[in-house]
Amino acid sequence: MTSEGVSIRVSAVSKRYRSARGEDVTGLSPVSLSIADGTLVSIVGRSGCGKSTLLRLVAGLEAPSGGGIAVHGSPVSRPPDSVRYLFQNYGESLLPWRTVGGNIQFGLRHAYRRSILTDRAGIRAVIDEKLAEVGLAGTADRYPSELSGGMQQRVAIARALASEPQILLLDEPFSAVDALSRANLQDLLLRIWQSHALTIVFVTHDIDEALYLSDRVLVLEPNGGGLQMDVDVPLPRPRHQIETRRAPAFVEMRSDILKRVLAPN
Amino acid sequence: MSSHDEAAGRLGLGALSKRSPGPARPGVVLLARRYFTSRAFGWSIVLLALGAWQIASTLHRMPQLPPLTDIGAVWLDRVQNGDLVAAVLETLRITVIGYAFATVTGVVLGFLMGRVPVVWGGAEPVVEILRQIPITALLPLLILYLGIGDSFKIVIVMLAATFPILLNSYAGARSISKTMAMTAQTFQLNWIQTQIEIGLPAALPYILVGMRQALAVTLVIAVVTGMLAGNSGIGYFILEAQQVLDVKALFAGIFTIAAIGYVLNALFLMVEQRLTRWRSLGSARH
Ligand SMILES: Nc1ncnc2c1ncn2[C@@H]1O[C@H](COP(=O)(O)OP(=O)(O)O)[C@@H](O)[C@H]1O
Ligand SMILES: [Mg+2]
Repeated sequence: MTSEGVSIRVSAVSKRYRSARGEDVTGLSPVSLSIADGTLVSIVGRSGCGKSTLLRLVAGLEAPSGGGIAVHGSPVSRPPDSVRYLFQNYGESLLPWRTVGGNIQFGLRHAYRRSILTDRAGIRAVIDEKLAEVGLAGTADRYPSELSGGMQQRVAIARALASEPQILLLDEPFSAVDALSRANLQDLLLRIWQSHALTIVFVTHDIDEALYLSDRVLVLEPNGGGLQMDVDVPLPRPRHQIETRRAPAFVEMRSDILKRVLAPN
Repeated sequence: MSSHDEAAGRLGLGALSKRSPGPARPGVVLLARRYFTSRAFGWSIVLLALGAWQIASTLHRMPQLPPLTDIGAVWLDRVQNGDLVAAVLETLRITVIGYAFATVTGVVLGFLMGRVPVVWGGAEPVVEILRQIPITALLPLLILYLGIGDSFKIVIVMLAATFPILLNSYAGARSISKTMAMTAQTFQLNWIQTQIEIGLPAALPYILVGMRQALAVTLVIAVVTGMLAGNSGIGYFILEAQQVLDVKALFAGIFTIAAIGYVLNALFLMVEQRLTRWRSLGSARH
C-alpha cells in the first residue's frame, strides 16, 4: 500500500470502552477508510455513534482496540506532529490565564515545524496576522473570557493555525455557537482550508453543515455500528450560504442522507 | 450587591468583583443603601465601639480597661524605645522563614500528588495521618528534640502552614479538565512542558487560596511559639506585659498583631488579585 496522496488511512479500526459499571461498551465497530490530501471530509451520525471516538483515534489521543491508523504513511501511536485537534468545548481548551495573543503564541511555540521566532516583533507580527485571518484583529491583549463563544472558537482556530498543521480535526466545533456566527465560522473554515491547503476532518451532527462544507460526507451507524454511507459531494466551489443550500443537488443529497439516518434499524 | 461581593472576596469567599453601575436612583435611599452594604458601615461600628471604650474608660477609670489614648501613648513609647519593633521583626522573621519552607514543600508535594500517581500512592496515607494531628500536640515533642530556639519555632510554623497549601495545591493539580489535558497532547507538549505551561497556571488560584489560609495560621503559630518558648517575639512581649500587669502594653501588643495580620492579608489579596486577574474578567460581565 502506498501513502501517495493519502493523508489519513484508517484500517479496520475499532474501539471498545469499559463503562463505569464495568460493562463493555462499543465505541466504534471496525471502520476502514482513507482520506486524500487536501480534502475536507465530514463525519455525521446520531449522538453516540462514535464520531468523537473515531476523531480522537485519528488524533492519537486514544489507542484503538483493534486495527491501525496511519497519518502520511506513519502509524499513529501518539498525537502526530502535523495534526491539530479543535474541541467542541473551546472554552476549556483555550488557556484562560493567557491573553488571546498569548494563546496564539502558545500555538506558535508548539508549531509543527519549529520556526525560530525569538524576536518580540516577529512573534507579534505573526500573532496579528493570524488574528486578522480569523477576523479578530485588535483583540490580542484581551482574555478569552472577555470574548463571545464564536470569538473564542476563532481564537482556537488561530492558535491551531499558528502551529502550522497539515491536518485539522474538528469535533462539533460550531455546535455551541449561535446560527449567524455559525455561518460566518463555516465560511472562515472554508477560507483557511483553501489558503493553507489543509486536510480537514469535520465532525458534526448537522447534515446541512456537513454537505455545505465538504468534498465527502461519511455517515456512521448508530451506537458505534461503523460506517453506514460514504457520499461524495460534487457541489461547485466556492460555496455560497444561500445558493449552495438551495441547489437541487444539495437538497437531494440532504434528503438521501436524512432518510438513512432517520430510518429505524 | 457589589460591595457585598467585594467583602466576600476580602474574607476569602470569592474572587474580586467589580462594582456594577446600578440604575440611577438618586437621593437618600440610594446613599443609605450604598453605605449600609459597604465596608464603611462596619468600620463605623468599629469606630463607635472604640469611641465608647474611650469615653467609658475616661469617665470611670478601670485598671483592666485603660483609655485608648493611654494605650496609644504606651504603644508610641515602646515603638520609640525599639523593643516593640524588635519583637515584631522577630515574629515576622520566624513567620517568613517557616512560611517560605511550607510554601515550597506544600506546593511541590501537593502538586505532584495531583499529577503523578506514584507520588499520590506513596504520600497520601502519610499526609492523611499527619494532618489529623493537632499542631499543639506536637509542641512538647518538638521542644524535646529541638529545644526552644529558632529551629523549633520555624519547624512548628512550617508544619502548621504546609497542610493548607498542600491540600489546595493538590486540588488545583486535579482541577485540569480532560479537554485541557488533550489540548496539551495535541500540541505535543512533553510532561515538563505540560506541568509548566498548563498544570501550574491552572493550579495557581488554588495554590494562592491555600497560601492565604496558611498565612493566617502562620502568624498565630509564630506568636504562640514566642510565648511558649518564652524568649522572643511579639508573643513574648505580650506575655511579659501580662506578668508585670502592664495592661496598656498588653493591649498595645494585641493591637499591633491585629494590624499586622490585617496588613499582611490585604497585601496578599492585592498580589492574588493581580496574579489571577483573568479569573474575574469573565464573571464581571455576567
Ligand atoms: N471515555 C469513554 N468511556 C466509556 N464510554 C465511552 C467513552 N467515550 C465514548 N464512549 C461511548 O462510546 C460511544 C460513542 O461515543 P462518541 O464517540 O462520543 O459518540 P459521538 O461523538 O458520535 O456522539 C457512546 O456509546 C459513548 O457512551
Ligand atoms: Mg461527540
